[in-house]
Amino acid sequence: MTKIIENDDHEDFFELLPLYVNQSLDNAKMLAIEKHLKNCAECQAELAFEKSLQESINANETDVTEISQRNLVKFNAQLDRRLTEVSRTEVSRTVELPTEASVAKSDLPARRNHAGGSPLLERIFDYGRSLLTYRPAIGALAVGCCAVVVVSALSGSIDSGDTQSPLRSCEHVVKHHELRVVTTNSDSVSGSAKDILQEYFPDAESTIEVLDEGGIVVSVTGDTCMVPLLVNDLEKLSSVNSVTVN
Amino acid sequence: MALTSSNDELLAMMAGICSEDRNSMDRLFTTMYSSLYRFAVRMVGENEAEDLVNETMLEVWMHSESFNGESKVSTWIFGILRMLSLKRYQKQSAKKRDKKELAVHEEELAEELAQGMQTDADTLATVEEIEQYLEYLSDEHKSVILLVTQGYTYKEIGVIEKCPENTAKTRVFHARKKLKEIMKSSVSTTV
Repeated sequence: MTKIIENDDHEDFFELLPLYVNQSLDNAKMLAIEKHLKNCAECQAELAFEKSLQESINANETDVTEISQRNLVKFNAQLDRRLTEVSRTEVSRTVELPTEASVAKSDLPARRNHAGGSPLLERIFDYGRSLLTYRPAIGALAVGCCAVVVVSALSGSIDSGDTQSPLRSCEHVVKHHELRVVTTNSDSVSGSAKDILQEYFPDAESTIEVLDEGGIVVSVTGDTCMVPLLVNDLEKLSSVNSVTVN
Repeated sequence: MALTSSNDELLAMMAGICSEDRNSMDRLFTTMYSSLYRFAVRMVGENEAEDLVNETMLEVWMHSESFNGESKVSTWIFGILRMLSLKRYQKQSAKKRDKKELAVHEEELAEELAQGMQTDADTLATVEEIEQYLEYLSDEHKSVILLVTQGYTYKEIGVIEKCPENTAKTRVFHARKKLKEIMKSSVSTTV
């Protein structure tokens, strides 16, 4: 007879208690542990500790929706910038190459070559193909579903709902922007502002002026869509009271 | 903490990401954010957690094609987060060693522990206390305790921590033991 728990001894049950509490074990193991628990005082005490530990950790969970939404905007800006850097590299590579014929596809970054190249997609289709061989009806359904997912993804028709990136709906226009930052520590804030400007407007013309009456003025000529992100990061600095865009 | 989306739903998002669909990326970001952020806060602190999660999701986009479906999508993403958090931890530790602050820091923590907490080692009195106890665990021990709490198996923890399943199991065992010792020492120093 096959044993459900490796050696069927106390040690094995004891080691599996954390997974019993987090419910990641299969039913047979859960039942075997429950049976063992009835007659084992040490495991009962450990179970109480483990439950208490996991409940305490999970209890301290505040709502992170606002943080998530704010960071989704920031993430999309970071991704846009990363992709721009990649395409710049591609352009410079192409220019450096002596003839058009020598522009090998393999020279381009892997991220750009998707057609048939993804191990995940290959695995999904392989799985469907194997089912087609042995269970034609299920296999056909699996391949069909995968095709719908991939075609939807390729055509961009997957419903974006509320997760549509605000950056994508923003019109990318280069303009001059002036931000007035009210702060109690102008020197420190102007240093941090320089770093933040570099992050969002790496190639833009910008100046930071420390005002005699206190506060600083940040001037930058660049993409309008980046300004809310800049404001958001400036507002997060500890000694900043307010940021106004002129 | 269980994810609200099944692995099949996450797989569909990954398929979209492999085809450079930004909506799929947004959906994956929103779906995974809560569990990743909470893990990150406990591993690197609130100040760095947001950056760490964004960095993780950038890696997901840039290297989506290396995901081969052998593990669950969430396990693969947690593996990336863990790798990046380890890098930060090593950097921070190196800085502290350079400044010879590590020993002082540990002494301060031990003092805080002795002064600030009173609890029974078998039950955790408050949520705040458990947060403080976790701070006294090593990076590896803290990580495996949190991963168990997120519902992962030893095999999946092995994938995330880049170690064999049995090592993950032993690490969880020692982490729990260490946590109990810390709690007991807190009780004995405060009584």
